[in-house]
Amino acid sequence: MVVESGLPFESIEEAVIEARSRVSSFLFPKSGVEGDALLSVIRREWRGGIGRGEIERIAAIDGSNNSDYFTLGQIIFVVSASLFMKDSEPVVARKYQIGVMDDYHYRERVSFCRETMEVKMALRSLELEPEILLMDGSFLAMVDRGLWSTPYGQKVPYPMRRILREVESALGVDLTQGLVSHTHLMDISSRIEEIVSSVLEDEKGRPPERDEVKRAMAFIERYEVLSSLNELLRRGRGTLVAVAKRSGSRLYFNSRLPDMEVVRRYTSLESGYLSPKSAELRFPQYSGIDDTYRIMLTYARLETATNPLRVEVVGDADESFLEELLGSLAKYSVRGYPYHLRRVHELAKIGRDLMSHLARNLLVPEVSGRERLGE
Amino acid sequence: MESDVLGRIAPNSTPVQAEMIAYAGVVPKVGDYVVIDSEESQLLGMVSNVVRGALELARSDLLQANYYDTILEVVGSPSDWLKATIRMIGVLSRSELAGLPRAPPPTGALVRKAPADLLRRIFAPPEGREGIKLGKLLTRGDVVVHLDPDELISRHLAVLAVTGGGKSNSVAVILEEIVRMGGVAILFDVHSEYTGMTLGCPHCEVETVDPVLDPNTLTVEELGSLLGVTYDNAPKQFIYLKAAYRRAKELLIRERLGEYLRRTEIEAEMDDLLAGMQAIIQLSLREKDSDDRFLIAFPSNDRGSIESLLAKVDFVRSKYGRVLRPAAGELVDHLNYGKLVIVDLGQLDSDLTDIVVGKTLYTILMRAKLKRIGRGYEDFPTPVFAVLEEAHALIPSVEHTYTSSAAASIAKEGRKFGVGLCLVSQRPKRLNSDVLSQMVNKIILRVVEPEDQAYVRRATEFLSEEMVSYLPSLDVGEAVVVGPMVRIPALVKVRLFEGKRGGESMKAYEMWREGLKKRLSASPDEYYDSIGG
Repeated sequence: MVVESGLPFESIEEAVIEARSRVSSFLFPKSGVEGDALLSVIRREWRGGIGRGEIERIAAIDGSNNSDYFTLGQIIFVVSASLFMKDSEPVVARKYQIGVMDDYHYRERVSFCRETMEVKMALRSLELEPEILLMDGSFLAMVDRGLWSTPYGQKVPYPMRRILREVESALGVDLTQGLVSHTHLMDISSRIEEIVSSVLEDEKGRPPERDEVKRAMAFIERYEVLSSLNELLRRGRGTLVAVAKRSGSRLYFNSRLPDMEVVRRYTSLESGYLSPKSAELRFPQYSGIDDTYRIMLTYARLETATNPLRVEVVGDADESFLEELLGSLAKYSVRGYPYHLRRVHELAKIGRDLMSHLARNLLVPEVSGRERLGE
Repeated sequence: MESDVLGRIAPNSTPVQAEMIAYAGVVPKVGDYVVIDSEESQLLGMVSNVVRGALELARSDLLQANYYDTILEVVGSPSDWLKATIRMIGVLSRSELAGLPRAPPPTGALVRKAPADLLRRIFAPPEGREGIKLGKLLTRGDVVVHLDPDELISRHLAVLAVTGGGKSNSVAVILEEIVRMGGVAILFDVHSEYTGMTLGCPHCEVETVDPVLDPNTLTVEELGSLLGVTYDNAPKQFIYLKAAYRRAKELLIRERLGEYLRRTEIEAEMDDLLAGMQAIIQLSLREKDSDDRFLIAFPSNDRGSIESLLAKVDFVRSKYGRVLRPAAGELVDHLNYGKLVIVDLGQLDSDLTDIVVGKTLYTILMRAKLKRIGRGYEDFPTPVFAVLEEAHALIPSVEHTYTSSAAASIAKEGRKFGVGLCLVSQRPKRLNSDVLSQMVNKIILRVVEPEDQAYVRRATEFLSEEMVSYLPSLDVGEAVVVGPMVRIPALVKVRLFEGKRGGESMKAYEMWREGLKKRLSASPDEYYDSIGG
């Protein structure tokens, strides 16, 4: 027998029904103050229709990564970066980097490797002199992340500055060079680990914790991404364009809903774009990179009844350039997405099945049976 | 890469079938023979299907060709891929063909085009004998396909195709080859298509014969079929028919039949059995209480049945008088070595055609049997190859005909006694399935109708689904050839018949132009004279 406590004992169905209208008005604020304000911005800033641009020499860069447990605590990762460019004949390039690392926050660290490779492939592609170099994603998002590897606040703590200096001097290479991530190369990574351990022990007067070593290593790996990106932004001004299919950014409307959702929900289904908004790309202070870049940000629907895209152009692009750019992208779009990006994605893709096959059959085939996890 | 290399075996192969991924730029064709490197031997297979795709266009959301335009503009030419399905045919052991492999080919095994020498050996005539030169491989014009005549006779043949698919040419080619070898052939020409046919070789003889039946050689059941009187549909009439038959036979033996014919004033030869039966029935009705033992006694209430029987006999005699000729001999008497007998059935209706064909087939089988067991007919030429045009009309699936029974008997027993049967049809699904399935050899030309395809597939041991799906796209004269008469299934371009054959497609335009020219060149008087004006 149950004794009444005086406290509520709700039915889940009744609670949901009761909350339904509030949830709905929160998710879909079409009417009301917020909805009206968004609609008014859209009416003012949305440019209906996209013409046909004349830009032909368009290149696109994308990367992919995947990883698999090799043994307990050890990860094999495969990362790729690809280029596809339409010239008189298609131009393609692809580079892979394969390595092993501890499983300590490995997803984030493998993604650093991918970002580095993408940025470096873009840097090398600039030599092919494309009129437009498309990258998948967002430059702003690439520098602006609350990452496990950067828990040091805005300022770089002294030991990190020293580690960076010693690593750069010990490696003797410019981290922005080449096509692969230097800090993820297995021999260099071991070397970095030694330097990090030694500096931390020296600074702290005790052997460092494993967590401290790995965080510092991740910081160096992240630094390679940012320094390479800085080089790319510096050299690729006026050429670089980032296109994102998904984005949670609220920079344009400063609304409760992400910008992309606002565009999707409040614009008609016809093609068009928002008048560009200027934003400043600033590297996090802890990176020690002081350069800033102007980014023109817009959202565009390249084809009727397709999902909008977020488009970032590096440099002071005016609206007429934006029109020309979007017109050229629309000309080569399939289902509202630039085909160059789709193609380069296909070239770079490392699927789960492929990764599993590579890890099991090609990478270290002599390790099998009980030695392989999950076998 | 060697020029004859096609691709490599993909995973999931079986001992019966495998998939091959083709090398870039290589386009294997359906019907191609391939050799697969296996562990200790080589396997022979045939490409039964080819699938082609393009990596860049393999998306389900590209539902307008405009998207293809955009993609092709960006990538130039798409990255084609080809995947071929290979049906295993057998294991090659020192270039000789053995049975199906027991194990699948290894994944990644190299697949090459089968060498022409190997195929020539496989499709060559049996050693020390001649073969029936049917045509060339569709995908390999340098390989001639021969049929084994022994297997053709003993395992029978069906030639199936839509109208205009090349059936008659195929039949003519086979008959020409058989007769050239000295063979014995009979063709039941339902539409008078082959009248005037000639064969190319010096010793070949073609005789077109009118369908005559000696009623005296017919059994009572055969006569009943002709009259439409059977024990099942008219038992009383059949009993009186039997009685009249027995009495007429006896009178014939006693040479007294003419006496009864004279009494009724029926105009007939004195030894005409059917006329004699008519006389006996007529006299039995007229002289009801006579004590003549050659007349039939019957109770009064059966009079109607007997009158009806008399009317039927009278009708059949007047309708088929031209065909039913006493002492006309048997059609099979015309058979001989190096000779083709064409039975011109064009003017007969379906009932009589059924009797003529069924009777002749039974006679061939019976004589061949007696010859084989040493009970007479030593001079009867065997083996005989009997060809039935329009077989679906004579051996239908829905009703039982006299020819069906005869064909079923030959299908079952012909092998032992040297009688081979060939059924030719454009509507396979209307053919009796039991008989068709015993035609183990098949030449299947273009078949469009899906039900016909499914029917042929069910009735054919060696035919794969993929090959069936290929049937509608065959051109005139292109055929799938299966059965023991060829060592392996083949896609063949049947050669053109070298002799002269009637029944080619009507050239309407030319005939009209010629007729018009003739009319315009005639003087007005001649013209009106010719039309009776």
